[in-house]
Amino acid sequence: MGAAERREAYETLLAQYLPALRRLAWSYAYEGCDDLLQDIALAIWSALPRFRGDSSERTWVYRVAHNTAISFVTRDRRRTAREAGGDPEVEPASPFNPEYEAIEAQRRESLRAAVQELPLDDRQIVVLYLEGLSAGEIEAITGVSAGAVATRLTRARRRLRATVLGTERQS
Amino acid sequence: MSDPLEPRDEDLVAYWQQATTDAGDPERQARRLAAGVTRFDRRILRRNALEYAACIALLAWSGHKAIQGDRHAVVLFAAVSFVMAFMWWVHRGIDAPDPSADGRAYRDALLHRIDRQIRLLSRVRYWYLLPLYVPVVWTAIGWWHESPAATIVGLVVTTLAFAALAWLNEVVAVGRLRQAKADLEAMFRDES
Repeated sequence: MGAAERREAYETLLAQYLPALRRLAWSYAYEGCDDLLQDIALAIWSALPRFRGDSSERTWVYRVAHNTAISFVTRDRRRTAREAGGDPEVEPASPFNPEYEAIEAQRRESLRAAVQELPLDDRQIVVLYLEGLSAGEIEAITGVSAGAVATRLTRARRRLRATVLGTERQS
Repeated sequence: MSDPLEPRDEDLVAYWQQATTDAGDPERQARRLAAGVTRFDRRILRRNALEYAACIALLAWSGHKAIQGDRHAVVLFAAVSFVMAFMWWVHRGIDAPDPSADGRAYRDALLHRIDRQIRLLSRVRYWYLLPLYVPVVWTAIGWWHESPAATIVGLVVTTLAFAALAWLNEVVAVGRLRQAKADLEAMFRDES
């Protein structure tokens, strides 16, 4: 892969996956989200010449991103810890049907908070599921069997639904 | 019976994907990240060039002095050569874990790498500090006839500096690596 070709492929990947990568980085590192995103971008850049198309582009990007996040979390766990007592930022309600929008915004924020509370191994699988990846793709990314993925997803989804609903009722 | 207000799975997916994380303009951010890798590549290149240049300069200087008959330089040349050769031997064929491997393979590679680093740093006094300490002590002893007091002070300061280096590597750095290993193992409890 030539330098110009590599650069072009890199920028295309970033442009395509940046919102998802940012959500992924946020789920691993609340405080160090930007640093982790930079690390993921560097890892994608470094690994790009080795991409042979054995897996889909999407699977490959998520593998690199999740593995980099694991290294990041291992390297400095303090930065990834959520500040104790920090309330999730609630998005402002839309002027159109503000009550409905406020509920939706609150649900989004409580989901984000609930994902961060999951144990790391469950969180990894749940984030991939929420990004729309299939059990087979999750298996290819994490190395966890599809059966185990399904079991963990069932458990984690139940927990997420209960947390989102519980937060709503408390408020 | 499930709660009718409970969000459905497809709602959870939608909430997640709609979530904004104060990312700003994605295109501008992508350009910023792309510029970041260029800076990173240059920094690595400069750092590697500096390290190689320093080693080559030290070897060239000590080699030149050794040819002129300076016995201290012979020992220094041998010590630096030994440390460089040992580092090359230890690191030959070791690549950083491939981030595009599947999660399990990556974690195994990461753990293996941490183990190797722990083993290497636990013995830093034998393969790094001692080979460099010996020529320093030998050189200092050579000054004894000129100034015993200066020789003693030099030896004490050097010994303390080497002891501090040993402590930083064998206690502090190894402790951090062990903690990182324990954290990594604890992250994945019951994978099957």
